[in-house]
Order: sequence, then C-alpha cells, then structure tokens
Amino acid sequence: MLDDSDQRPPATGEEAPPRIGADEWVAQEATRRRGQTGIGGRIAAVWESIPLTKRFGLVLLLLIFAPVVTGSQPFLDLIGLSNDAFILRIGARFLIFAMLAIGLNVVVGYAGLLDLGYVAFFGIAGYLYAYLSSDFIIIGSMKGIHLPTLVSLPLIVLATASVGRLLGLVSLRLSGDYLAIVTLGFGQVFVQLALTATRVRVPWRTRPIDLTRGPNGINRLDEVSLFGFTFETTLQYYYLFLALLVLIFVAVRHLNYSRIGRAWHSIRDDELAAEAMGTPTNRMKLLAFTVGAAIAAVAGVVDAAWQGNVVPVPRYSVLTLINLYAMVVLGGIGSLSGVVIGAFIFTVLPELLRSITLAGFLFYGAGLIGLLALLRPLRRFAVLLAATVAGGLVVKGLVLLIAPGLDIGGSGSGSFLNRLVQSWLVIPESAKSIGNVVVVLAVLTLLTTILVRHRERLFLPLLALSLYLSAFAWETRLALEPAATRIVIVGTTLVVLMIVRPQGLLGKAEVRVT
Amino acid sequence: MEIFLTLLPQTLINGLTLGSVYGLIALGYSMVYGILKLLNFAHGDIYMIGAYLGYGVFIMLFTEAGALIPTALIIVSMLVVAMVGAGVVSVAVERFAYRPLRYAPRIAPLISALGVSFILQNTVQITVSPRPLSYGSGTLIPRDASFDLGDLSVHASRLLVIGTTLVLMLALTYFVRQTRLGRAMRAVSIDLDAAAMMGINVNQVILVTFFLGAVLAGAAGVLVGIVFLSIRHTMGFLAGLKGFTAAVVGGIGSIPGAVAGGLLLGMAESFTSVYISATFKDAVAFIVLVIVLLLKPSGLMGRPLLQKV
Repeated sequence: MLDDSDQRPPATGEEAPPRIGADEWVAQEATRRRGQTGIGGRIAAVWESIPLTKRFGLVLLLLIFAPVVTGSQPFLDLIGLSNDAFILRIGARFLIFAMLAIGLNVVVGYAGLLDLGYVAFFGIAGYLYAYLSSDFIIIGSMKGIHLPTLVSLPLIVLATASVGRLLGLVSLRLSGDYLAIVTLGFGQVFVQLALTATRVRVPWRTRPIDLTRGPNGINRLDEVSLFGFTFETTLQYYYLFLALLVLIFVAVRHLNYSRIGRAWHSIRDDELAAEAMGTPTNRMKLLAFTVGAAIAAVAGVVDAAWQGNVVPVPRYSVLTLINLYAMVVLGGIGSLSGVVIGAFIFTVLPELLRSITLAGFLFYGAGLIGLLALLRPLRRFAVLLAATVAGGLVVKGLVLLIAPGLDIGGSGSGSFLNRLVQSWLVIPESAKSIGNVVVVLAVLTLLTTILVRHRERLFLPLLALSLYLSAFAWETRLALEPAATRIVIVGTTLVVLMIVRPQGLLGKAEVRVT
Repeated sequence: MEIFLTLLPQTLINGLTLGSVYGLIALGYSMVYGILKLLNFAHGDIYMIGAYLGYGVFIMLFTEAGALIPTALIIVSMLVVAMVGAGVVSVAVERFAYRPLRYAPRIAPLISALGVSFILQNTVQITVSPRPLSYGSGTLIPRDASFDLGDLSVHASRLLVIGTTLVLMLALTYFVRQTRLGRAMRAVSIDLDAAAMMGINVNQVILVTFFLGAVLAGAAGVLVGIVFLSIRHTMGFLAGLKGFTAAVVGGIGSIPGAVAGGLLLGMAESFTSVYISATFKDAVAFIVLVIVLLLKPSGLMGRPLLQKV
C-alpha cells in the first residue's frame, strides 16, 4: 500500500519540517555522528568499537550473572530487601516481554503488518498449555491431561502458529489500518471468549461445558520439565527464559539477514514494488504472521507454566498489547536490540516508579536534566533556577509575614529532597483539594510555556511558575498517588519520546526521498 | 416467537440509545481519520472527560437542597460545558501531542495517542476520584418520567439521548455541507496538499475537526452519564474501542457511515444481550466488525481504498 500521508509536502504552519530533499538527512548522517560528543558520545564510541558478537556476549554475561548479584547479601542490604524474589520476578517478566517484543517486531517491524491481535497468540498458547498440563480436562476416568513439556510445547507452538497463519490470511485482503482493526477485533474476541465461554452447549452432551473458567482462569498448571529436570523456582525459570530468549534472538536475527528478511523489508517499504520484483508477497506475509505467532506461543507456554495459571485479564488483554507496542516503538521499531532494550525499560521503569522516593528523585532529576539540556546557554538555566528558588522564597516570606497560619509545611514525609522542597513551598492545610486544582494548573502553565517558547520575556517567568506549580502538585498530590502517577509519567514519556525521536531509541530514521 | 415479539420494541429502543452514543463517538474518530489518517486512540478519553465535566456542572447546580435552576436548563448547561470543555482538551491534545508528529512514521502518533490516553485517565483518577461517580440515580430525570406508546414505555432519558444525537448530527451535517469551514474540511479530507495550495489554512481546519469530534464525544459522555447513571475514569477505553469499531464498520472517513456503524453496533449489542446472552455483548461488536470488513473492506459507506502508484 502506498500511503500518501507520509509524503505530503509541508502544510502551512510553523512546524513544517525541512522536507526538501529527504536525502539531505542522509548527507547529515556524518555530522550527526560527530555530534555525539561528551561523555555519552565517548561511551557510545567505545561500545561501537567492540565487535558485534562480543557485545552480545557481554550483555548475555550481564544477564547470566545479574541474579547472582541481586541475590548477594551486600546488594540486598543496599536496597533494603530481605530477598531478591521481587527483583527476580521483574527479571523473568522482562525476559518474557523481550521474547514477545521480538515476535511482534517480526510482524510489525520487519514485515510492516500492523497486528493489534498479537497478544491473543500469547493467550491461546497459555490456554492450550493449561488444557494439556493441568487437571482441567476430565475424560472418563482420566483426571486431567499431563503431557510432558517436550511433547506439549511443540504441539502448542504448531497449533498457535497455524492460528497465526489463519489470521494472516486476513492480511492478504486488508492492509494498513484496516488490518490493524480486524486484528484488534480478533484479540478482543479472544479475551471476551476467555472471559465468558463458561457455559457452552454442545450437542453431544446434556450439560454445558466450561471452556475457560471465566475471569478466574485456570490454575494449578504443571511446571515445565525438560529431560527429567523440573523447573520450580523463579531463578530456574529465569535461566530457562534467558536460554529461550537467546535462541529466539539468534534465530530471528538470522532470519532477518536472510532472503526472507529482505523480502519482509521490501514488503514493508513498498508492497507494490516488491511484488513487481517477484517477491512472493502473500507467502511472506503469511510467514511473518506464522513466525510471530510461534514466538508468542513459546513465550505463552513458559509464562503460563511459570505463573502456574492463566488469567484472561489483564494478562492477555489490550493493556499488555499497549505495553508491547510501547516497548517495540520505544526501543526502535525494526531494531532487534532496540526492542529488547524497550522491553527492559518498560518492565523496570514502572517498578522503579513504585517506590515514591525513587519516583521523586526521578521526577526532579529528569526535570532538571531535561531543562539543562534544553536551555542553552547555561546562563539561562542558572537564571531560571535562581529565579524559581528566589521566587518561591519570596512567596514563602510574604505568606509568613501576612498570614503565618496558612503554611503548615507539608507532611514531612519522603526523602530529604521531598522535605527540602516541602519546606520551600507554601503548603496550606487543605493541600489535597488545592493540590487537585494545582495539578491541572501546572499542566496548563507548562503547555502555555511551550507555546510561548520563542518569546524570551514570557518564557522564563512562565517556566519558573510552572516549575513551582509542578513541585507543588508533586508534593501535595502526585507523590501521594503513586499507582496513577507512574502511569502518567509513563504516558508523558511516550509522548515526549515520540516527539523527540519518533523512530525510537535504536531505530533508524525513515529516509524518504520524494 | 411470542417472547421475541414482546421484547422487540424495548430491544430496538435500547439499541437505538446505545447506537446513538456509539455513533457520536464514532464521528470523532471518523472525521479525524478522514483528514489526518490518524487513529486517535485518545478519543475515548475525551468522551470520559466530557462525562466528568458534565458531572462537575451537575453537582454544582444540583445541590442537596434541590435543583438551583430548572432540570432542562441543568441538562443543557451540562451538555454545553462538557462539549466545549472536551473540545478544548482535544484541541490541546492535537496541538501538543499530534501536530509535532504530523510527518513522523505512522506508528509514532499512535503511540503518542496511547500516552495521551494514559495521562488523561490517570490525571482524572488523581484529581477527581478513582471510584465510579453517580449522576444521582433518578434525581435528574425522575424514574417514572416515561412515555407510553401502546405497550411500550420509553424512559425520558432515552428520548433525550436519541433526540440530542439527532440534533447534533443535523447540525454537523449542516456545518460540513453548507459552511465555508465545512467545505474546507471536505477539501482537506480529499487532498491535504492540494487544499493547502489552494490557500486553505490546514492547521486551522485540523483544529476545528478535532474540536468538533470532541464536542460530539463530550455530549456522548454526558448522555451516557444521564442514561446509565454511573461514570468512571476508565469508561473511555471500551467505549472508545467500540466507537472506533463503529467508525470502521460504517466506513472510516464517512460521516453518515459513522452514524450507520454506530447504530448497527448498538442494535447488534442490544439484540445479542436480549436474545442470545448478555455475556457475548462485548464480543459481538468485534465479530460484526470482522464480518463487515471481510465482506466489504472499506466499510459500509466508505470509499474504496485505492492504491496509488
């Protein structure tokens, strides 16, 4: 499909990008690379001087020894946890999501097929594993089916891949957004059926059958057992997942650099041209769906075995899908290491934000660093910071002079940073209801500041004001609602990242010559 | 058969109510898609914002002492505030989250929209309440305020929904067909570049499109609150998904199509929950979607997708 939306000349407007000669971009490649100076640039240069295989080896070693470090006593003392079960769970979840992200990347990143039903394959594999490895199915006197993993895993992967192929058939007829919508529908139907197919009537039985146990899901699944070894602890599963991830990573990487990979890329870039060149587009699209579904199936099976249950919501719902897409796009669509990094960031960041102290440091830290990077010359940043601090102190002084009872000085909770900010702010008694208004005000001021960013006289004062309001909003409201706040932060990160770097962290910018 | 007939009128009315709401939401998706080819996933949350703004007006004007002004006026002011407020939020979203991405790869605005959706939902959760809020069950429109048509009794709130939807759609049709700005909108949706070259202020047209779509969604939010009495900060998700489905079933980009898709979906849902099983009512929307798209890929009233070389 040749979509004209990407190829428009600039419309009238201030933000029309320099579209003339998209190949000018290519010409600038060298300058951009040279631009990567400073500490970050030097690290990147050293990193890129290491041969590729060694780089992968290094990361792999890091992942292999990570549990050893996190399980060691000094580390646990440092972060103040009694054991590393929590960290291990995050690690294992990261590996599962990395597998899924790689699979999704095959369909979306390589073949360019917008598949919004991807999580359904993950779910189908999970449910199939539940049928084949629990007491759920009772036939005659046999109580449950308990196939060994070596039998059930290939069976399930085969079955799920076939379903993927079937869904892929749709992609032969529909393209672009329409494909996205139908696949989204497929994913929804799966979740809805998993939720509701508890009383299905069949002709050969008088009583309705429960196919899924509804929202509660099926539990008490068998553990994975390979060659007589049964995986039981999260640590063992961590290494199983890691091994599978490496296998999938290497396989997909090879696939990507093979004829098939090149065929996928050509379909993604221009389907008509690819077909005209003799690429078997239909077969390749089906293959992309099949491979993606097979990878999701592997992840689904081991994940279900690790968790010991399958639950339709939220594990197999659109939320997981959104998460996955965020990972793939954040990491850089089409980049294999990028999507793994994206999976890492998106599993670890929300967990870090759970701790409100850490979130506070992140909030103020990221804010200041961001401003430091944006405000050049440095003098402006210094002026802004001084003005904000001074302004806050003046407000505080005035309040103390006129109405000393107004300021109760905050809750005094949180880290030293929070207490410092709280003593700087004027925090009245009914901070909660005022805080709600200030949250909205802070957003409004911040947006206005962005609008007037070219008018220096308005910009800096407004920015100082929005900093003050943001700090107030954080201390009175946001820090008290960590669950919602961390999602707001993740959402903001997504929007900002897309604006700053629409191709993701490691993705290659699209070069289009019109 | 007997049961089928006695349940039929009520099912139709329910379908019409639901369908009106879906249609209103679908219009916003459809108009934005028609112009920018952007799936605005934050649209469902704009609808949620509308519902909450309406709630704000409701508790301000409908105090414990009773209504401060006549009920009809309360409803009108709820609608107006929600529509304008939702419109403003939507315009801000376009300005800050979508416009910088107008020339980015297709998936970037999609992800940005998801981010906006996260922000809107959770900001409402923080600043208003994580619990469902009630539009005061039966206080705004008394429970017994219904009209009898033979055996069928239709509650006033349902008539309100259907009536308001009808008025809004007529107004929208007039706007798009008869006004200068409407003509500009149609021009931009046919060919953005050519329109820009003809001197149409494309940015302005896009802002107006977002505003109008959000106005309709805001109205839908208030109407849903009035009929189903309860709103919550996550309500935008499923409603958005279904409104979007309706837009696609009807043929995305087509205004009458969005309405038709909404009605079809509402009817399908209402009939399924009455005659088959209420548990399947959320799945049926997507089954309808898959069937329609496979039979007619461009939707009921959509223009067929042409491949340009």
